Amino acid sequence: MTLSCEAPVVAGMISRQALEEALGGWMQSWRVIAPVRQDGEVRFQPLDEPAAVAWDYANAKHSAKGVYLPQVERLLTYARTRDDLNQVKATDPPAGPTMLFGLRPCDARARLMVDQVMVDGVCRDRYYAARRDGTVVVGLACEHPRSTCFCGAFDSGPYDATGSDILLRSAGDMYLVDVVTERGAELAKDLALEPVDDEHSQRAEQAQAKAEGALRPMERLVGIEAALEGLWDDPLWQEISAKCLACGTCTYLCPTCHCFAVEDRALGDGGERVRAWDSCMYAGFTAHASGHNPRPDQASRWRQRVMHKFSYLPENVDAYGCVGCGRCVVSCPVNLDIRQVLARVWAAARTQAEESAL
Amino acid sequence: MTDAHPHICHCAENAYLPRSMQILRVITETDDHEIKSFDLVPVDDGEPFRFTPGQFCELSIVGEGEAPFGIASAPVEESFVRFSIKRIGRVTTRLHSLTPGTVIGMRGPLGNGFPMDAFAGKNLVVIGGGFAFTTLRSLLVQILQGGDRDQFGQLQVVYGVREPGLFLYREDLAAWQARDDIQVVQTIDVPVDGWHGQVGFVPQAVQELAPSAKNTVAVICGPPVMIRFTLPVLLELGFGREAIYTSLENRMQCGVGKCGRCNVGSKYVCVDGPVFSMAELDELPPEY
Repeated sequence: MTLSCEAPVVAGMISRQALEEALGGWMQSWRVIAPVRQDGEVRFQPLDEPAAVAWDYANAKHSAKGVYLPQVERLLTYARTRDDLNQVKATDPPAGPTMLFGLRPCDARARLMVDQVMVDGVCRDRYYAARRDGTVVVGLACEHPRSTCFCGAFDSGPYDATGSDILLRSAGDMYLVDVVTERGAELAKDLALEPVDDEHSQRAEQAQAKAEGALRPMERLVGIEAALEGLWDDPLWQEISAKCLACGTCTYLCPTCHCFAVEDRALGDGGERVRAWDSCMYAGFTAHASGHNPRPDQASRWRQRVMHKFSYLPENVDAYGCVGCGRCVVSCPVNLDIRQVLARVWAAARTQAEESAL
Repeated sequence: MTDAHPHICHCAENAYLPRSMQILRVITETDDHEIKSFDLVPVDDGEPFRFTPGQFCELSIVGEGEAPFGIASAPVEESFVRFSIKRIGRVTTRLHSLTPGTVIGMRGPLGNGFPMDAFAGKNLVVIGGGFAFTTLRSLLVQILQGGDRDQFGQLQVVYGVREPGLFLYREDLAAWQARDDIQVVQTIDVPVDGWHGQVGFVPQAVQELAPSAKNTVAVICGPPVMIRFTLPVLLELGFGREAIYTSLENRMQCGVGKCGRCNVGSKYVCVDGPVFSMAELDELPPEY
C-alpha cells in the first residue's frame, strides 16, 4: 500500500566538487531544477551554476510540484469570433529533458504518487505525461528531518530511494551514489565514481541512523484506510474543521495535491484555456450552477481531504496522497496539524471498535 | 469500476481539445423558455460520433468555459447530437443566446452510459421527473428506433413535471403515446384546465402503474426528492436495489478522472458513472 522501489545498487562515491562538475555537464543537455537559496528561502528553480545548489537545506517551503504540475498550464489558445466559438489551437505538450536535482525523498515519492493519477490512471494526461517522461530525478537523502516531518509513518523514511533515479547519500566529504532505475544507471555513467571504502560506508550509515532517529515518534499510518471506513458520520470532522479558514495553503504546498480547475482567460482578441491548481478546501470547488453543493460545509471538505489522501487514493492507485513532508503543518495559519487529525482518526476508530465490542 | 461499467477511453490523443460542432437547430422545449435543445453536427468530416445512451459531454464556449451535459439524442439518430440545456449559469446563459450556424466545442462522449447489454432481454420501467429526462430520451429512442426493440421486453415510462408546459420532447411523447409497444404515463403536480393526463406526483404514478418487478430494471432520473420517495415504491413492488439505476450529476470538469472534483467516495462520476445502480450507490457515501 505504500510506494516502493527495487533495492538500489551502490554504484560508488563522489566528492561534491566532482558532482558539481558533472552537474555543469548535465546543465548542457538538461534543464536542471535544483534547490537554490534566495531571499532567505530555499526554492526549486532552474539552476544557473552548479555552485548555487543548496546542498544542506531542510525541506523547502514550496515543493517542486510546480515543475511536474505547473500552477497554471496552458492547454489551448483561442480566437474569438462571432460565429465560431471553438476556434482553438491545442498547445503542444512540453518538450525538453528536465532534471530534478536534489529532491528530498518525500518529494521524489510525491511526484511518483501524482504519476499514478495523471499517467497511469484511466486516461493518460498528455501534458503531464510528456513532462514526466522527459524528467529524471536525482534525489538527495535527508540528513536533518524537521520536527514536522513524518515520512517514517508510511514505512518510508529520509533515506527512501523510491521515486529517485539516483539517490545521493552524504558521507562527510563524499556522497554515496545509489542507482535506483535504469535511467539512473545511465546517468551514473557521467559521474567520476570512486569505489566506496568502509569509512565512508559507515559514515553514511551513521548519518542515516541519526536522521531516522530524529523523526518524532508517531503512530504508523499504513493501514489507516481501514480506520476511516466507519468514520463518515463521526463528529471529528466538525471538530477538526471548526478553526479552518479555508485558505487552501495546505493543498497548494502539498506535493501530492493535484486537483485542478479548467478555466478560460481573456488575452486581447482571444484567450487561453488553462488548468490551474484548485483546492478541495474551497466551497466553490464542488458547487453546482444551481447552488446545490455536495460538500456544503468545511467539515465535509476536510473529510474529503482526509478520505481522498488516506482512503480513496490507496483504493484507486495503491498509494497514499501524503508523504509526510509536513509542509501543511508548518504553514497552516491556524496550526491545524494533519498528524493530530490522523491521531484522532485512529482514536475514533478504536472508540468505535470498543463500543461495538460491548 | 465493475465489469458491467467498462470505461471506454476516448482521450488517447488530447483529452482537453474540444471538437468543433455546428448548431443545426435550436428547439425551445418548455413554455417558460428556460430549457432549449441544441442539435449539433460535427464541422469536420472525421470519425462519426459514437456513444452509449447515458453518457455525457463537456460543451465548450471559448471565453466562457465548459460545462457537462447528458446526451439527449440516441446513437441511432446519426444526423445530430442533442443536448437539452436549462439556462442557469455562465456557459448555459451564453448557449441560450446562440442561433443555428454558430460553432461551439464538444468533448466526449464521457462516462459509462447505461449498461445496454445488461438491459437487453429485460422489461424496462423508465421514470423521469422535471428536466432530468434528457438521457432517458436517448435510452428510449435507441430502444424504439435502434432496430433492436424485440431485444427488450415491456417498456413503461412515467414522466412527471410541475405543469404541462414543462414537458420536454412533446413530439416524441405524442408519438410514443400512439405506439402499442410502449406505455407512457405523463403526470403533472396539480390539475390544470385542458390537461387530460394524470395528476399527482411521480411516486404515486409509479405506485398506480405497479410495474412487475419480474425480469425488470428500473431507470430513474429526477430531483433527489422525487428519487427519495419513488425508491420505497419500487422496493415495495419487489425491485432489487441492483435492478434500479440512476444517473448522478456532479461538477464534472476534466471528464477523465484527473481534476478531482466530481468524486462520490472513491468513485468518479465522470469515469465510473454517471450511471450507477442503487446497489452500487449503497456502497458509496451520500455525497451528491
